[in-house]
Amino acid sequence: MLKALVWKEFRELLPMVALALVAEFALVCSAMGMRLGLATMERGEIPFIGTDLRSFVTHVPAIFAIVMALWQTWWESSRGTFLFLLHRPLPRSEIVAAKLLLGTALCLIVSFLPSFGYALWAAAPGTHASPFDWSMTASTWRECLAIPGLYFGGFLSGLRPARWFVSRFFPLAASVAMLLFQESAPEGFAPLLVGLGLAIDAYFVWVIFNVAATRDFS
Amino acid sequence: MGDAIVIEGLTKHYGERCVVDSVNLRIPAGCVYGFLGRNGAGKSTLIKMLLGMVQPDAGQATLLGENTRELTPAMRGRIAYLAEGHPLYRWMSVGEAVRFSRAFHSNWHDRFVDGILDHFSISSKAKIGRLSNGQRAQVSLALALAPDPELLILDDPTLGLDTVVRRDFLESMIHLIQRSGRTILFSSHILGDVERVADRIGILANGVLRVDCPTEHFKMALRRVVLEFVGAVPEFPHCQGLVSQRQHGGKLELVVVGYGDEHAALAESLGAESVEVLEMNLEDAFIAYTRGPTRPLPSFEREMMPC
Repeated sequence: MLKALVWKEFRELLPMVALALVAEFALVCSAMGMRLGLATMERGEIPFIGTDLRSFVTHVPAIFAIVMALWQTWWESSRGTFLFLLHRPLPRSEIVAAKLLLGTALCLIVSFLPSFGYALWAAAPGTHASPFDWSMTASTWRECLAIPGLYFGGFLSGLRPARWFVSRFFPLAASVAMLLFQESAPEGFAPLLVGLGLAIDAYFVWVIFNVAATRDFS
Repeated sequence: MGDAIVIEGLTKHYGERCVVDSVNLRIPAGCVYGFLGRNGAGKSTLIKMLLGMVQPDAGQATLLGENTRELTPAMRGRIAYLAEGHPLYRWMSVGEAVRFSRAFHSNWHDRFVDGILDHFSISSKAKIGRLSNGQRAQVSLALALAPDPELLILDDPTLGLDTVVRRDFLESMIHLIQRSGRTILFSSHILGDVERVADRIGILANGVLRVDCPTEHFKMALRRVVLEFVGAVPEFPHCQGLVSQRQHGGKLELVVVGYGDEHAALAESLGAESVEVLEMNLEDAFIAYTRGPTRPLPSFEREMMPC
C-alpha cells in the first residue's frame, strides 16, 4: 500500500524534481567553468567561499521545497483528490507520513546532491587553482539541512485551514525567517541554530499530523 | 437485517451558519436511499461527516456498526465512496488508476473492473484527464465496486452529466450494484434520478431533514390544494401537514401532507368558494419542500390597471 502511495507521489513530483536538478546542474557546471546554454554565472575564485553559488544552490532547492509542499497539500485539496486519497483503506497518518517522507527525501536529494558533486569536483586535485578543505563546505551543508524546514512550513501552510489567505502562510513565513536567520547568523551560533531548526522541524511535523487528523476535508 | 447507517443528531456549523442541523436517520441494510436537496442544502457535508472527512460539531453516526469518527482501514475497505465530481488523478491512465486502487484492497475483482470498462468502451490506456465527465464517472464507479463493498455512498454521482449519460450511468449503477444486502446511499438534486432508483428518500432543506420515508409513500401523501376566494385571500392557519402556501391572484395554493378532514374544515372556515385537491408529482413535491418561504409575486394586472 505504502509503495503505491509513494509511487503516486513520486510520479506527481517527478517533473518538479527534474526541473530543480537541471537548474542546479547548470549552476554547478557554470561554477566549474563549463559553459552551458543555461549557465550565466562566472566561475568562482575559491569553491564554497564565493557567495554566488552558495546562494543559488540554496535558492533553487528552497523554491523547489515550497512548491512541492504546496503541490502535495493545497493542490491535492483544490482538485478534490484528497477525498479520493483519504478514503483508501489506510490510516490517515500513514498517508501523510508517506507524503512527508518522500518530500523530505526529495528535498535532501535536490539540495545535497548538486552541492556534493561540486564539493567532489573541488576536492579533486588539478581542477582549480585555489585551496580547498572539506571544512569550507560546512555552511553549505547546514543550509541544505535547513531546506526540509521550508518544506514542512510549506506543507503545513497548504494543509491547515485558515480564515484568510495571509494567515494560512504563517508557518511558511516562520520557516523562511528561520532560514534567513541561519544564513546571516555568525558562524559561532551555527550548532545552536541547527539544533533550533531541527526542533522547529519536529514541531511542524507534529502539528502536520494533528491538523491532518482533525481538519475538515471538504 | 439491521441498520447499515445510523445518524443521531449530526450537526455542523460553518461559522455562524448551521449547515447540518441535528439530523437523525436510520437506513436499513439493503436499502437504496436517495438523498435529495438543493445545492447548499447540506447533503455533501452530511456525507462527508459520515465518512470522517468532516468533523461534526455534535451528534454521532455509525456505518455498518462502526463509529464514523474512528473508521478503521478495514471498515473503509467495506465502504465505497464516490465523491462529488469524481476526483481522480488526471495524469494517470485508467490502467494506472486501477493498479493504484488495487494496491489498497485484498479482495479486488480485476475481471469485474475489466468488464465494466469494456461495457463502457473505456480503454485502460486512456488518460483520466482526457476522459469526458461521464467516462470519469464510469471509471470511478468501476474502481468503487471492484472491492465488492457492502455499503456505497455516492455524493451526487450524476452531477455534470448530460441526460443520456446520466440515465446510462444510473441504469448501469443499479444493474451492477444490486445484490442482496448491499446498501446504497446517494445524494442528488435531480428528482428523476432519485425517483427511478431509490426505495426510500430523504429531503434535506437548509440542513434540516424534512422528509424520510419510502418514495411511493412520499408521492402518495402529498397533495396540492387550491382554494379560490372572492375578494381578499386570507392566510391559511398553521396546522399539521402544511408544507407551504402561496397566493396567486384570488387563489391560495397549499401543499399538504396527508390532506384530510381537518384541512377540509379549515378551508371551509376561511370561506373558500371552491376547494380543489390535486395529486403532485415528485418534482413538484420536492420544490414545495425545499423552496422555503417566498414573498407573493407582484400582479401585473393590478399594478397597471387603474382602480
